[in-house]
Amino acid sequence: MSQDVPLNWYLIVAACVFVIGLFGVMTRRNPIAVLMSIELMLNASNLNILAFWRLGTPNPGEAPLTGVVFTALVIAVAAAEVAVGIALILVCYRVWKSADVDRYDSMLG
Amino acid sequence: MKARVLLLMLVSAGMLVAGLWEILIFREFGPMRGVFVQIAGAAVLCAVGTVLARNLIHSALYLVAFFFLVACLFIMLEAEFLAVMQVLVFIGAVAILLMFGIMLTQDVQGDQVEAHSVLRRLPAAIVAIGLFVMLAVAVQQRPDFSKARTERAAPSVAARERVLNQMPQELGLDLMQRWCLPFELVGLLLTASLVGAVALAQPVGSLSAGSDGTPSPGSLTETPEHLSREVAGGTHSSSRPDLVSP
Repeated sequence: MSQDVPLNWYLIVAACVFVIGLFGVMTRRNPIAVLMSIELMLNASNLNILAFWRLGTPNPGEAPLTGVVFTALVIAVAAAEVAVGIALILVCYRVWKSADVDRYDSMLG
Repeated sequence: MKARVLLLMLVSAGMLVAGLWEILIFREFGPMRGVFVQIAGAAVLCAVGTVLARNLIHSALYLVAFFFLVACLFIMLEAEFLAVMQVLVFIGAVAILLMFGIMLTQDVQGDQVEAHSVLRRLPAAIVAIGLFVMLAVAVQQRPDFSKARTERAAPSVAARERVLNQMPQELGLDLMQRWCLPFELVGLLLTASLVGAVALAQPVGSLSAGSDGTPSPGSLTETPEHLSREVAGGTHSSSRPDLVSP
């Protein structure tokens, strides 16, 4: 059923979303917007992993759920990353009193 | 009465256009591919909206829609359990956390103004489009496996098809047996990062405010006043002198 959609289509969509996220990381100035763009890139990689798991040719003798477990772990890591990222942004906002990555210019504060 | 008739005509015209659009898409691509094209197109549009929206709240809402559409794509890949996880974790936790971040960092100066200069965007656009072209060419030229290799992989493909229908059960068993160590490591990582996030987000000096109230020697020299004011007005109200000594 799902074999109807070729693997390449998923890969192209994931590449498209990844590139959009990359553009956002490079152009946005608000740190939270940068974090959102990073989330876009992470989701694109998740989609890639899952598409390869479902539609790609597995290694002989490979476990049946490798891609799903990998994606689940990536989702958990993404949640951890967002928690730490938001905390760091709050600290930076408190020190510099602005939400602008261009103005965060020293590590000492 | 007139406005209602007009509205009715407008709605039916919209539905007609949408129906024609669907017929066109499905005739062009077939059932599964038609659904895929529409979901993927909407996801890419939402991603563009996330990146380009000026208002951060709009950006976050586009991001929520994008997460949901990615969950739809997961369902098309027959990983329903992961789609549920995606909705729970990303929409339920990550998006809400981002909303909190937006609300907490915008109260003083509504810093929503993004520099929309061409000078800033042009290099980024060039890099992004270049990377996309590279990836697309690589995807298009991806070689197929040889026939013998595909045949050797046939048992794995069959095993994969078998577990699709009891995904949560198989996933739980796999996480407890085959991937026990990564599972525990991710648990450790989550715990450490959440504790770290809580420790980071506390106001500086609030940890040492209970002992003597003086900031630690390595602390910031630029903003001691506002920080101590924050501590005094925040959760540690007992450090205020008028409350400590009545």
